[in-house]
Amino acid sequence: MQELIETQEPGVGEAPLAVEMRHISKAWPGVVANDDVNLTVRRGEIHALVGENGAGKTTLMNILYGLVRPNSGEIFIDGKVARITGPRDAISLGIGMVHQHFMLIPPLTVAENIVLGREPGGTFSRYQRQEARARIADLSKQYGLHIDPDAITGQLSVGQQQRVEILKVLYRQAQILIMDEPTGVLTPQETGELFVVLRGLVAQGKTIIFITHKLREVLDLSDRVTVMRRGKVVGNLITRETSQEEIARLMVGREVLLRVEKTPARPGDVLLRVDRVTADSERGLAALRGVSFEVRAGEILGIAGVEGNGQSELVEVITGLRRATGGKVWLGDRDITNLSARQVRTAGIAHIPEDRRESGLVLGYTVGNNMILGRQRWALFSIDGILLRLKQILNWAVRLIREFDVRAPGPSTLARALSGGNQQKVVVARELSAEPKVLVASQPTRGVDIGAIEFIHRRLVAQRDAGAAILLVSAELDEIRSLSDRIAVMYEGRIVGIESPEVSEERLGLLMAGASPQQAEAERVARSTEGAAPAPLASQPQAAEAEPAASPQQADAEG
Amino acid sequence: MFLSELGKLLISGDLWGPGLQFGALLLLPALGGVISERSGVVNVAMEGMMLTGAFFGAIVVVDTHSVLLAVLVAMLTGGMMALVHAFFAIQFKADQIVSGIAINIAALGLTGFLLPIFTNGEGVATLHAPLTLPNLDLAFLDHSAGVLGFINEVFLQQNVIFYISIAVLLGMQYLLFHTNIGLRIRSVGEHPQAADTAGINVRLIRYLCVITSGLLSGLAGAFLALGVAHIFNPNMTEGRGFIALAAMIFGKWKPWNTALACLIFGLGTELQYQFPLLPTTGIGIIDTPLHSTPLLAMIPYVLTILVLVGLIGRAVAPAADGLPYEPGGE
Amino acid sequence: MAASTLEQPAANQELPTAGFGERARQLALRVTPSLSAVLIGILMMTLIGSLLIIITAPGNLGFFDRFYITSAAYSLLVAGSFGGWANIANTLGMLAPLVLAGFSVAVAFRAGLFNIGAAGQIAVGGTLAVILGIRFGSAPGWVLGPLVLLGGLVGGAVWGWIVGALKAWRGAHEVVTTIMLNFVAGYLSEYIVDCSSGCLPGIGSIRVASQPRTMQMGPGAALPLVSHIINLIHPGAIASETSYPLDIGLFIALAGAAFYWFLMQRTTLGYEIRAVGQSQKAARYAGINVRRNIIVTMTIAGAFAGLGGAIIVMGPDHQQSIPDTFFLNDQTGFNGIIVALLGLNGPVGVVLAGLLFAALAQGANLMQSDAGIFASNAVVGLPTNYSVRIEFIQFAFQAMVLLVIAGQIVPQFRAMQRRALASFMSGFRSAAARLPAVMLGLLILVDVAAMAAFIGFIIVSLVSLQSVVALDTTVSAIYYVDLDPLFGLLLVFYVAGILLLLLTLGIRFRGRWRKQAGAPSLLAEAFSTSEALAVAPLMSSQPLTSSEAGNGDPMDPAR
Repeated sequence: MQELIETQEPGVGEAPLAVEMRHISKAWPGVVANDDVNLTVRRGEIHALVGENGAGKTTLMNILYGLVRPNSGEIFIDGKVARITGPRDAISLGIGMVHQHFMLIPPLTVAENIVLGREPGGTFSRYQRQEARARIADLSKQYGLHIDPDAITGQLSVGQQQRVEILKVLYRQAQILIMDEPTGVLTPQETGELFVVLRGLVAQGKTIIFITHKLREVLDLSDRVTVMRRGKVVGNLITRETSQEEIARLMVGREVLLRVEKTPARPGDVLLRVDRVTADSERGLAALRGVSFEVRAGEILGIAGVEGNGQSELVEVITGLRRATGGKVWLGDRDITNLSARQVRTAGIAHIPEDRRESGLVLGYTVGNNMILGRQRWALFSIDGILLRLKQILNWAVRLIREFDVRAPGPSTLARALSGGNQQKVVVARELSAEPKVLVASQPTRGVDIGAIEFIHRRLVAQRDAGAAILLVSAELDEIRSLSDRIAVMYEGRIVGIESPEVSEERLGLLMAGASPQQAEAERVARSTEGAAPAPLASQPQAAEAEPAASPQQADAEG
Repeated sequence: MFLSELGKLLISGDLWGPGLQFGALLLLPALGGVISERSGVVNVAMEGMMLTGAFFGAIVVVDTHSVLLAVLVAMLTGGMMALVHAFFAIQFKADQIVSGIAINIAALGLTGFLLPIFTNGEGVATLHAPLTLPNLDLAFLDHSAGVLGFINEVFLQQNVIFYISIAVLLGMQYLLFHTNIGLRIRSVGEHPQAADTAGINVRLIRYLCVITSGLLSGLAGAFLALGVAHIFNPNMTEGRGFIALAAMIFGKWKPWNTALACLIFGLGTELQYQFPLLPTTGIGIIDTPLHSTPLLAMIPYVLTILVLVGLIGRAVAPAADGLPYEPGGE
Repeated sequence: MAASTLEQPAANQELPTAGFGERARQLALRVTPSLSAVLIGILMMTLIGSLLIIITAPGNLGFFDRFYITSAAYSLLVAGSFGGWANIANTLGMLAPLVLAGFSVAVAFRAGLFNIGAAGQIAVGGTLAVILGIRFGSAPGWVLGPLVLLGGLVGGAVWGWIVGALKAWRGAHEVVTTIMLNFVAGYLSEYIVDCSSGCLPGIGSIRVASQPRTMQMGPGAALPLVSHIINLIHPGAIASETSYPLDIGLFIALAGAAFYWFLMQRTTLGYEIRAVGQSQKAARYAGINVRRNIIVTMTIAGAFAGLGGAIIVMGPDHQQSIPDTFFLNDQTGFNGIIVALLGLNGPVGVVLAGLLFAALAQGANLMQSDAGIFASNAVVGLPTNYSVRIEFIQFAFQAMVLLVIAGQIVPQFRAMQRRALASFMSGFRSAAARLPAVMLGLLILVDVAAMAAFIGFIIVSLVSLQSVVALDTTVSAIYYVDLDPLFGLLLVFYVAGILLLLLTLGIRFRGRWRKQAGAPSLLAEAFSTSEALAVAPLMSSQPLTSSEAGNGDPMDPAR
């Protein structure tokens, strides 16, 4: 049993705790989300809530915000007992939440989104546009969050949308802000700007709780950290007295393998070649603006980049789910540009899609039926492509369940009933077992528990060693760096750099933010000659990482 | 000869007057559909709610001789049917189209089996004034011909419900786009979870909007029985509720555009009665359809299909339309 | 890298086999909850009808007297539908077009489409059938019969194809287009029938001069009666063939049911149709051409309905001739929707639901006319001319079934019961988890037994009270049947059924009972699904409609 690790500051006339959650428990059928959780947050501090996927952090904050009712436990706000039955109660107590998936209504304007539910004039009056605009302008100025109140929310950038979310919360006079994974969709630069804003809020007396699984952010931003694992609190630390390694250990419970063990790659022939491909997004805007790269047999090419820079469209073009408006895609020496998904699959490309629940699986089908999804007309599973070979399909499923250790009672279990990790294993099993020449894996371990993650990573490497060419798209930089033999960075529909996996986070971050390598080089030189002056493009986190390197020459050598 | 008569027809008050009236008949349920779907609840039950309203309106007016009471009861019964639909759609998270169709079938069955009971097996006889909804005569322009005469005939001598429906149109436009309530309704239809976290009562808004659509459809039913047809026949709505639905889709869930669609459909409906009055051309392929009752009867339906086919590529429903809302965490 | 071996026929690949016990378990799990669902449907329908009868019975009668009247009414319902061969023949005779219409709607539901247009497809199919039957009237039976059937099939298929094409290419929502096309088809049929010479190029008039109805089709177009076929095998077995108006359309419909089952469960097309119905995104990922699928599905749906239309006009009820407004007023397509929903889109379910519907329609005549006579034997003070209105039962049936289906109470029943049964069958240790399963099984057994006894009792009584030969004439023997046992059986049926309902509702709402603090009660724990989910295999279940599958906005034109 892990001992609870606590480092406490000696309390000297402390102010009442802004938030205190005692003995919070919440369980759903089959899942214990929070198990006797205690959380204390001091007024005016930035408190990080850390843990792996499924650790229970979001549930805990949903309880605080009233979206979820706990089975037991109590909440105290500013020292007084709080009954929170819904968001309205939370709001009236001064709690505001900025969600991971924004709660914004795309067709409405910024102003309308911000004032919704608390419009000037009250429920039964006409909509007072001027008044709303004025109030928002005040808030903008006070907190340094600049935004156009009349802009259509759906057309804003992600960073701007987040600003609207924050303004929403401030408009309701929140004193305690909960932020759920705020940086998942931001570039490093936007992350830096966000941190500046958050520090500004704290300076004005707000309290901030932010949920993250990114250790660097914890160290950079927070005053104190609470670490959760599998529904329990396993650590309560003061940030400046701890380290990434310690937090990581607490999060996972054992030494974290930062690298997957693998032998060096032995790349063979080029199996997948993408040549100046262009394509449009759903909205008709250009998503790919001339992407070119190659993947060889026996290597893993990782595509790094903030989501929304064309990665999804790239995957769709390669796998036949989206039309390319220009350029070519080659499988070996065969031109497969704009072939249908069925033809691409038959040609030997397997695809682990980024959303397993919507695309990768038919949730209402059994595991067995899902195991042949996309291949239902292949000779192994059907006669002449018309009649199903039910027995073969069943046996196939049984074999794969065993081989990939899918935790399901049998092939006739509904896919819906499986856990996220096991669902993903079904998808991975299906795609890998087709012995593909090329495997396109998109966010292969999103939302998957750590045991399954390791399993999937090992299988991917094994497939690489068997001679497949693997294209790995992931928003998790750690995954990219540990698996890839080469890393390509995408920004705004182009490949802006191809790096080795030893590349520094700083350089990766710059590329992901759209800075050119030359510019990054120039910045580094400038910084190393100017000493510790903050670099305008690189955000604080990157500078902080350079500290252990101790000397500018060493920092140079990393680049 | 034919062409000139056709031309005259297309600008005559004989076409536009009744055309507008039929349009108003469609407008009420169509606007009901707009507000219901704007809040995120698909409502295909307008047909059934109209029929119920028509039935109870006719029965009440015969029994009590009060048109006002009949209209109110009609609206009320429409609202009650809507409440059932809302209940199943919102509480049980039922499939909203199946629920709507259930209401339609239930309405048919209910009116079919209550009709002989309430009328002792005789059905409803043709209604005469003062048991009908009257046409108003607001004609203040002292002309009977020309442009002013046209205006008189078409706009100023319509049924009282026509004017009510115009008021509803204006009211709904204002409500949806210029009030705080309208903002909330639209947010509930687009992103109910966001509305919920903003503290808005999603369920209540949806219930109210669906009931409103029932009230409007019931009113339309009363209009049909008491103002247009002056009688009640089983299944007299004949698909009008669905034509109203198509108007709503054509109108992209916006009141004014929906009204335009209703106008088109209304004119189409009236053409069905006006075409046979035109002189023959001697060309079989034109004459036969224009003088054949069954083929003419098809006009409103074919028109609806053409409208749906021509326009739909660009219509976007409120994003959460048809999706039952699951409050967070469960 | 070796080419994938999966493409080659691999009939003798060595694969481990799935257990026999597993498949047996699957079958049991599938059948029991469906049976219970049908019982619940019958229960609710008869309950509403009973209530209406009880409320509207004239005179100063006590509750038990009124309940006697309902027993009398339902006995007559059974007698009228299954009492005597003539009545059985009538009931079965109604089955064919109804069941085919049901499959028409069901196959569309499987693909996530609402085919409200079965009526129009019946109209077009039936009209085309009539035209062919008249034009080629002189052809011999073995040519004309199949030709006319084929005409029905093709006509319906074309009408269905239109809907599919409009939806696939223009995104026109099928609820509205099908209803519009229903009216168009009805009027088109009227026009074609009414039209005097010259308006149907190449076909001429098909109308009788003095009346608005068609001429008779050739004698070869009449569907042979089953009684006729029996007489061919055993000459003289049946004295009056036409007293038993059951034609071989029944077998055509049953063949259709087999085809439906085969299509859905054994073909790749069926797999793809169901996939599209469950998740269009996953279907696209799997390389399925969703648009083509929609068109094919609607064409098949139209074909089913059109075939039904042909059978209608070829049957004995109309002497192979129809009036002009026949299809405008025909309710079969409409009833098909109810049959499909009640039968939960399954091959057996639709047939059974159709049987229920036909029995209702057939038996209602006797019920209406003779309820007073029968009941007044046992109920003092009831006038003999009392009649139960057919509309009560029909209205109750339609509305209740549809709302139950719409409320998804029935699929939820099945799911809940399946889970309880599954946990029981997996030999779970906790007695608490077995409890609901045993209760369920018991109640279902009692209910089925009561209903079977009720029906059996009536039929046996009819047989025993008359000589075997006279069985096929009137059912006046019913008046001599003792009402008391019938009363008792009906009571048992209701009590057991209501308990079944409550039990399943209890499982549904179990979460609401659970106490906030302290250990959950034994009952609540018994109904907990966590164990069942973790352990038991669950059968593949097809969601009833697309939004149950999470396909979202049914009005979304892009769908």
